[in-house]
Parts: sequence; structure tokens; C-alpha cells
Amino acid sequence: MFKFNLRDYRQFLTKNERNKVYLRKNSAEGRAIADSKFKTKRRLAKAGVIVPKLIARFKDNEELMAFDWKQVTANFVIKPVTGYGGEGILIFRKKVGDGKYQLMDGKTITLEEIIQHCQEILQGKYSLHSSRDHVIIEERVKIHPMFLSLTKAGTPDVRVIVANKVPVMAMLRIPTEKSGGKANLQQGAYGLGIDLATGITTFGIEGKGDEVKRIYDFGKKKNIKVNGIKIPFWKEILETSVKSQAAIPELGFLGVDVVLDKDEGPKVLEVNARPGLSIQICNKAGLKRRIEKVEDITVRSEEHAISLAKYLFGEKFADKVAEKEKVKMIQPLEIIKVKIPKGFVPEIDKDKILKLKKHRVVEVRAKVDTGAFRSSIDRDLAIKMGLLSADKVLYYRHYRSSLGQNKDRPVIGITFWLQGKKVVTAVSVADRRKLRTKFLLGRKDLEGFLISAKKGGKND
Amino acid sequence: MRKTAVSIFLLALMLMSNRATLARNRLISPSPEPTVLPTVIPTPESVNITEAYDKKSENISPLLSLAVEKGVPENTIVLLLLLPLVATLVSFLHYIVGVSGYGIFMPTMVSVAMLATGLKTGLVLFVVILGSGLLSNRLLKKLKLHFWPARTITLLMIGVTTLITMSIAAGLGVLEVGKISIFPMLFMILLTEEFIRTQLAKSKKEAMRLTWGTLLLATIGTLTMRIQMFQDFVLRYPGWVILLVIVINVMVGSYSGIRMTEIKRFKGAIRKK
Repeated sequence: MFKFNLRDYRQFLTKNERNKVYLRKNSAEGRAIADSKFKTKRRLAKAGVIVPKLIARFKDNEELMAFDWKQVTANFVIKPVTGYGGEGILIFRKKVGDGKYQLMDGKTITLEEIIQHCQEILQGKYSLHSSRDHVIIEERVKIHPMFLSLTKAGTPDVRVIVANKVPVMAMLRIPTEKSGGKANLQQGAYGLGIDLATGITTFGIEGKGDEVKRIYDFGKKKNIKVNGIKIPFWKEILETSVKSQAAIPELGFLGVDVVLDKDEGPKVLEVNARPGLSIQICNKAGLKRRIEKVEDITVRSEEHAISLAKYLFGEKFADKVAEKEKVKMIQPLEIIKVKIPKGFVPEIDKDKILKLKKHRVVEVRAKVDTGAFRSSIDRDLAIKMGLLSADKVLYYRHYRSSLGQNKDRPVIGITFWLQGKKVVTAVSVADRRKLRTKFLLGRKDLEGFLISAKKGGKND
Repeated sequence: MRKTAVSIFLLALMLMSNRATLARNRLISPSPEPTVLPTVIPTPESVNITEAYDKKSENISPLLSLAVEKGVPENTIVLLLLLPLVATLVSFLHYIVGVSGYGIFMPTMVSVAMLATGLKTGLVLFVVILGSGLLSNRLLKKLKLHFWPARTITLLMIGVTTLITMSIAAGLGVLEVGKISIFPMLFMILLTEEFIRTQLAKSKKEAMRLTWGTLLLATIGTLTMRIQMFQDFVLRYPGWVILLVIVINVMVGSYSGIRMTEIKRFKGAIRKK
């Protein structure tokens, strides 16, 4: 029962460490912005991040009384500016009669009740320490149908943790009736880990840690697996989260909550300067190890940040493969198919470029080297294939070669196929001009393969 | 910075050990001076919070015995010195073991409250106050009052319920009603307030977790404060108490590793090889 190895826990970001080390990257001004939905909205909108449109803001009772309620007829939301945990939010479907409005859950509410609710917000019923608060009215996000089928109550959203401008981990948060329609794990919502490279869900938890394997799909009217759900607009969601941190540089470590609008795509509802740690459980991965990987990298651009996330933190989906098929045998020498980036004109003979599904690939001789952790590719080949252009380099890494020389080698993200299995990974670039094999397969990319040393394989 | 702090402690330690030997010499020497002057002022309405501590200690630190002679109540001294020790225990349990309550002061205060009322009476009092507070909160929700008037009515409800409970208990002779004073009750009411706030802010589950945590921490605190050895210790070596509290808290405060409860929490997040 008490069998555990503390080594296994080193990858995780623990509460003590989050509070002591990482929350200090968030300045007081940054936290003030994150705490106020209005300030967040203003900042993000300025930086070009799409946010729900603001209809009105009341700072006091006079402004509330002066508001002309004829302006709003359908699809709006009333929120406290500094509310937490989704409390005090009213979501309206439409106006149903004279001074009567229908809420999303079907209840009808009168204008008088709305105004009283706004007054309660102003007095601080929903704010921390009951301090006075402001009210905002904003447009309602029209939930994407794929999300709508996953819940009956509330709005599912995608929480992306961004550190040093790089998305490091993400989860889909699905509110339940038990969580009172709130997409908060603490209140009992579902959390589904998401593979950063593909936007496909991996594992699921309920509340703060109980694993779930299946959830109910209201569209299909049956239970579905928590893994394998494809999030639409994935690339845009990642871009939005990166942009959001760039817009609030005062926060070095934050969670961005993105909702998907049916028509307009990802919108940011709010940012969290103190994101929860359960995201590690539904991803079965440690935040600390991931943050440490990107901590020292100078992120050049949005694309750079996203390719870092994709190639460094992408899932191998090895577990799934292992379940379905037998372990694949490979020889010490293999021919792999390396993908040429989209739109690049390679300096390679046309007849050597093959087609694989919709991708262009080149066959490359690769040598298996279990003594190396990371795979490496020949510099000339990488240049010819357009893999080594300045914007493709993820970062530079200091290597000590077997001859004792110290070198800074670029690390690039590539996609290749080995025995038909797609591998998305980060490889280092080395000078292999004088060698016959232009690619070295390291341990990191050999997961799920069995190496056979038998001679006379088809590649020999 | 930590190094300077530690060196200051070491210096203080040396000074303290000198003092301690002095004190010992003084205790051994058969001086005719009386060690303690029994200056107990019997005020019936005052809270004799450490009634558990009634044995007059013969071994009091010379510094403290002076204060006692001048009329500072011994109970107060014991309590003042025990408080930071209990708080240290609470923060140790929070940061290293992982038991959380409502902050650091709430569990410490409640442990003092329960020391005054007795553990059993304290727990019953807590259940009554929390129950009536929550019940009145639920009823008032329907009235949609302003926040403060609603809280005031809750206060009244708690007061009335506690009064009734105390009267019944006194009639049946089951609880030590005489020990219940207003201060322990105030701490419990604050605890109810925290519960309502957390329930609003986070969830009922979280509020329950923190309340159980607070009670657990407070119970451990009370049981620790009751130990005669500790009470004697703080009176005899107040310097050591100061030193211990600072050293342990610097150590706990700079710990950024895993909490024991997190080992269970993250167990499911480790991928099998």
C-alpha cells in the first residue's frame, strides 16, 4: 500500500513548489489583471485575442439604474467582475415578454430580479472578502456543438497552461450537474487531458483526482471513451493561449480558459494566475518537467511556441498502439520516411520524393543506436529538406560528442514514419556527411519497437 | 539570508545555554527565596483558559519567575508560549503532511478554544454552532437579504441555539457548561463564517474538507497543549521555545518538496512502464 518511489514524483509540480517558485513569476499587477474579468478582457482585446463582446459595465448603482435594458434582447450574460468559481453568473437565452427574460436553464426571470441581482453583485456578494464589485454584461458564447453534446449543464472549456510563452499542458473541462454547471474540477467537473500535438483527449478524471474511463455523450445518447475525442480548432486554441500570455507579460505562469464559439472559434473567457494542479493527473504527465524543458528557451514567435509544444510534449500514443497490435520488430538498419514541410521546395531529385497519404516524404537510411537518447539527423539532409530553416529550430542544445568535443547543436521538430508508425518528435542536427546512414534513431523514439539483431533482414 | 538567520540562532543558542546553566545553578542552590508566589486572582467571569494547567511548577525560568512574582498570571504565560508551538505544529502538518484547515490562525485559535472548554464540550459546541449557522444560512437564502443583515440574523440564530443547547446540557448535567465562555464560541462562529464563505467560493466538498482539516489540526493542537511535559517545558526554558519555533519554521518555510498527501494524489498520474 505504501509502495512508492519518490523518483516518480519528481516530474510533478507540487503545491509547495507552485506557491513558492512559480507563483512568484506572476507579479501583483498581473494577478490584479487576472482577478478582474474586465481588465483581462480589455488587455486581451487590445492584443487581438477574441473575447466575448462587452455590452455594458456598471461601476455603481447609478450606472445600473441609467442602463437602458431595451438594448439587450437575447444571448447575453451578467457577471460579477471579480467573481470566482463561476458564482453569480446569469446566462440569458432571450427576452420573452414585457420585462421578462428566459435563462439558459429554462427559468423565467423578471427585470426587477435582474436589477436586484446586479445590486447584490455591486455590494460584493460574489467577490472575495465581500468587497464592492462591478457588473459586466457581455455577449453569450454560442457553444460549439461538439462541446454541447458532452454536457447538459454549463459550458465546457479548454484550460491551457502557458509558461514562458509555451503551452505546456492542456485539458478539456466538462461541467456536470454535480458540479452545478461549473467547469471547475474542484466543484466536481470532468477533466480530460489533451495531447498538445494533435488536440486529442487522452485520460480523464472526475473532480480532483478520481479516474474516469467513460463519459456520457448526450448527442450519441451513450457512454463514450474519454480518450480519442478530437477538439476542433486545436491550432487556433493554442495560438489564442500563446497570444493571451503575450498580452499579459506580468504573468509568467498562467492558465488560459478558452471556450469555442460555434461561429467565431476560440474565445478567452478568463485567465487564471493560480492554475490548479489536477491537470497533471488527467494528462498523466508532470508539469514541472515540462516547464523546466522550456524555461531557458528564448521563444521567437507564436509558431515557434506551438512547435515547441508539439514536438516536445506531443503524445506517442504508444499505449494505444501496444494494445491493438503486436510489438513491431525492427532491424538495426531501417529505412524511415521523413516528412517534408508543407510548401517547401526541397533540393532533392523529384523521383526520390514519395507520397504517403497527403504528405511528401523522403526515404532515409537510419541506424538504431540505443546508446543515444535523442535521434539525430544529418545537417546537409536537414537543410535540403527544409527542416533547418531559422524558424524551424526549436532550441540549441549543448552536446558532448563521443570524441569529447563540445558542440551546440540545433534541435528541430520532425515527423517520420518507422515501419508504418508515425513518430512526431524533436531531433538534434549533427554532421553525418561522412557516414552512410544520415539518421540515427535514439531510444526516445523507439518506444513500442523491438530491435532484432538478426542478420539478413530486408534492409540489409 | 537563511545562513545569516541560522547563524543568529546559533549565537542565541549559545547565550541561551549559558542562561540555562545559570538557571540550573540557581535551582540547585538552596536559596531561601520562594520560587513562585501564588498570586492567583480569582475572577469568576474571566476565562481561565488553561485550567488543565493547575499544578504550580517549581521549575520556572528565572526570567519568568520574576514576571510571575510581579503578578503576571502563570496560565497566560504558558498559553502565550504554547501558541507559537501549536502554530508550528499546524504549519508542519500543512506543508509537509498535507492536512489543510482554514489558514494557520483558525486551527490554532480553535485548539485554544477547545483547551478551555474541554475536547468533548468543544466538539459538541462546534457541531451545534456550525449546524445552526448553516441551517439559518439556508433559510435566509430564500429571503434574499443583504449580506450583513443576513449574517446578523445568523449570529442571532447561533446564539439562541447555543443557549438552548447549553441549558439542556446543564439540565441533564452532560457537558461542562460552566467552562463555556464567549471566546471559544466566537472562534467557532468565525469557523462557521469561513465554512459559508468557502462553500460559496469553492464548493461544499471543499468547505467540508477544510472544516474537517481545521478540527483535526485543532484537536491535535489541543491534545499537545494538554501535555504536562510541554507546559513545564515552556515555563522552564522559554528561550528554547523561541529558538525552536524560529528554527523549525525556517525549515518548514523553505521546504518546497512534495506533501505526504500528494503522494496519494499523484499516484494515478504516474504512467506504468
